[in-house]
Amino acid sequence: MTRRALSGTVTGLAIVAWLIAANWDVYPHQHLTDLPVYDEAARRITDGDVPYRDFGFEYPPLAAVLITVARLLPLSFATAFSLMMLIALCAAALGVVATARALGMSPRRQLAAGAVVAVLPLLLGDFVATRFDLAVAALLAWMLWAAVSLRWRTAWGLLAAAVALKLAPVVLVPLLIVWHRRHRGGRAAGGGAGLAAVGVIATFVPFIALSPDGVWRMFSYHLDRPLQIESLGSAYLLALHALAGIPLRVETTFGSQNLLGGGPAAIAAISTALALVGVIAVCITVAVLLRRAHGATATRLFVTGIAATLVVAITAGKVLSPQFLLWIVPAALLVTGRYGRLAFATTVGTLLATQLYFPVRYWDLVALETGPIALLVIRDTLLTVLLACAWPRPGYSPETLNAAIDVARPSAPASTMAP
Amino acid sequence: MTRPVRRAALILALILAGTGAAIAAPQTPAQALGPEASPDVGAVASPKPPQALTSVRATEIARTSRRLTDWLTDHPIARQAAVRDTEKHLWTVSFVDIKEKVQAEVLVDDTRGVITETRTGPQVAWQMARGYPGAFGRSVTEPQIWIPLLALFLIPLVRWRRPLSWHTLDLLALCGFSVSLVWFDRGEIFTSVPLAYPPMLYLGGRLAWIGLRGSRPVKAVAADAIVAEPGSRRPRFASWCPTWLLVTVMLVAVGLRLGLNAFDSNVVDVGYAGVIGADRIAHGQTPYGTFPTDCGQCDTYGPVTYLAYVPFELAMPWVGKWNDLPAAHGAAVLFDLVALLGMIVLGWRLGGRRLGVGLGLAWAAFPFTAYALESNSNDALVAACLVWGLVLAHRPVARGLAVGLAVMSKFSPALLLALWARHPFPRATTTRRRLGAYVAGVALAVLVTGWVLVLDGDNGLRAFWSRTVGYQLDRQSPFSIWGQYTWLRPVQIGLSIAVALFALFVALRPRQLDLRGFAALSGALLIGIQLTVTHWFYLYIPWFVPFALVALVPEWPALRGVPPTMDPTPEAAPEPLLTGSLT
Repeated sequence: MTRRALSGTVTGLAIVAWLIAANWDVYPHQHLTDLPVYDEAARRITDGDVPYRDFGFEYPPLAAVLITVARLLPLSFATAFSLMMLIALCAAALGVVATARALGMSPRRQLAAGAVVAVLPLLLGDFVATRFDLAVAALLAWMLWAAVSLRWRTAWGLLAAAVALKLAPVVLVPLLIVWHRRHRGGRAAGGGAGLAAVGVIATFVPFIALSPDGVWRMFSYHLDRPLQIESLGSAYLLALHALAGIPLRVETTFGSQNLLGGGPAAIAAISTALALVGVIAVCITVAVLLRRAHGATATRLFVTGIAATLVVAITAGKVLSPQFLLWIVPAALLVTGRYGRLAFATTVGTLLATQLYFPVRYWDLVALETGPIALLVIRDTLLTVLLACAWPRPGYSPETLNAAIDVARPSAPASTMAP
Repeated sequence: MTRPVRRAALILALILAGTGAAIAAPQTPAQALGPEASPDVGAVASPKPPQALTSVRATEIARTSRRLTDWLTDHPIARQAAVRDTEKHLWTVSFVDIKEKVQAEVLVDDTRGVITETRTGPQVAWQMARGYPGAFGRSVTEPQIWIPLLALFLIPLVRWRRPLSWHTLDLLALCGFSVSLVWFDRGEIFTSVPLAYPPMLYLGGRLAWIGLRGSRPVKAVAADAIVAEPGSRRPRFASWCPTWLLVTVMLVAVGLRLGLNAFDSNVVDVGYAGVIGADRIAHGQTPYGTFPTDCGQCDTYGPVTYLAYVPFELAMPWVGKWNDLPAAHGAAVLFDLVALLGMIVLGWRLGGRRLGVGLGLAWAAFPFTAYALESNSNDALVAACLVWGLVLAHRPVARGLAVGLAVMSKFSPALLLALWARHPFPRATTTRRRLGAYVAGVALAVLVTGWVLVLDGDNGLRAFWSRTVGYQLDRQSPFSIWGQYTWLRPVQIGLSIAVALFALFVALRPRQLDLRGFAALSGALLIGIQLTVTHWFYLYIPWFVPFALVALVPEWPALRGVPPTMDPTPEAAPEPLLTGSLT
């Protein structure tokens, strides 16, 4: 299959999947959408209000730009936003295919990875059209391609855009520094990171000037969030609730359903600490392994590290909304090595497992019913398995294998009694 | 600090310190040590209505209890008395025999005129015999938790290629205590107690057999026997599970245990005792003879038990009542994790990473270690001391120190003192120097913990014997066949003598002793003493479990007969720390 045919197939698949998800009313969940929030914010912006100063806005500035563009298009907000997310979906799928090609994967594997991204609206649910996380996924997919192709400015620029859109991709900065430093040295890596930081800060500067408190409130909003009901820590407590009947209190705060109380607060603190430790551990592991890896092995190690960083950040984090899974998909589908196929299958399984309870049985979960709790535990367990699969390991490429054999093989003795 | 914040802070501190989380849920204290007289379960808290029943009517209602009728058929009574609790609006109708012993009690709700509880025989005096739900460890004994724990324990450990084997029987025997526990949880101790003996007898016999036979000297092996090569004398964990799955299962089990401890466990008086004792020590007072009345006999343990709680009591001080007792949670979690870590290190050093994970999993998934943890008792402390004694068995001072600490916590491990004086390595003899080092280790344990007795003069010294060993020797309890059938007393004495003689015998025989034999004999001795005690309880199982797991779970290479099955893809050999024990 030629490159053009592959891209066309994936794009076509994405459009078909989008149309199916949008027109088949298989997901009766109109109440679980973020569109009204976006629409209201966009309306106020177009009316002249300044986000952070005149009204609370929980996302970084680039998100405000995105929804304002959707508002300004000559279509209904929902349609315009949906179309923008369709474009983001196609971009993400093409980015994954391009990265897979850059990694030297077979056309079949390229197609498989691109196809999974393309059919995300069917695998995860059509709610993906009502969140802007697909845009984050697209930026990350192309950032990955740029980093793999050693296009450093593009990579840092796309990462900066992703951070300015959703903050969370900031966890990838250390790993990109490690990767950049390996190829261009510490100064270049520092320069790239600095440039990206300047870019992100630049998007904030006008708002900081107008309302520093408002911008801080955006950050503190995320820092203060309690344990969201779908997070791994919550799944642990919910499992204990189902098994042992431990008392739990669910309340809607911060725009989501969360577990409140001393125990959940402690678990939230622990999981946040674990997420930080996990991100650092992945970065150190990749940095150590990269010293002995070369060529394609090193590149694949980097991609695996990106996948592991994203998975550990969202799995161990205190908030795990279903749309967060979109961030991990581009990198997780490109994990190679011994557990590459398992990682691929687990990624797809995680998406499907999410759809088993969200949105159909989400409110049953909030009501602490055992069935959806079991489904959530399965989903979060799959995420943990994905983390195990994506954890960076030494590659087994011919070159490293030969090197290992050379090290292990003792030098031939001068004389031997063996025939 | 508010309670949730305190709990959260403690959990964080423990996790960060590598000791796990320990926060407490509201408690239902369970009386594990001795009789009590003021039951509080079954009480009715409501606005004070007028008295509805007369004593005669309450007695008539009580008489309708079928359980009471069954009991009184075999235990004739001389009189009956009904007393009304004006606070709880509850009639307690007592049925007293000719010796003035209360044979049964029936609680009758004065307002509704219905029986709320019937207590017969030992249930009258012993709250723990009444089968109150969750009295020990809350939900851990619920089927939805206990059965999965059994599954997590059995499924990875059973060798499914040969399910009909001694190995499977050993594992089933370990799990066999669960059958007894079912009846205990129902308050039927005349069924539960006898049911605890078959697995104990089997395991004791099996471990003794392994200890005496398994270390047979090589020269005694038949000439045509195939003797394992020195390199193959390492045990291995023969399981169908890949190592990553074993690690995952272990983490799941540990997560479940810690979660239950934090959110759904209670502190029985054994844990309460530790906190009170630590409080006494922290205030410069000896624990012995100074305990409050709500835990009057709780000063029956060795000083290590109380000292181990001191850091936790200092962090979360006791407020003078039997409340959440977060210090007890913290200590119980620490004991459990130290024992778990000991099992992992022991297995790792004996047979590599896989065996380490296997033994760790066996400890973490074994329901009775979870039972001790969720009851927040101090029994894992004994196990932790002894496991680390095994880990450091090649160092006489450390071995002596470990067994000394175990003795100074619960006394029963004193039976191991003679055996542990031996150097558990077949080619090494127990030289005077090694023996001296071992004795020095034991003495060190006594010295570093014994000062607790003289904290406030000689009061502690004088009270020590009567409050500890003296109390235990005179103890009456229905939680053994000896307590239930007093005519078995001669058998109990005979068995006690036999166990004591066996403890002396294994100090000399078998001549050559490897670590498996050492562990097996240690386990057999601990089971032996548990077989003979008048008061036995499930919380004591973790004392011998590490030895049973070490001796029974790994595939130990055979000394004679069939050569050991070699793993086609063996792991890299672990560092030869215990080479002496394995060659």
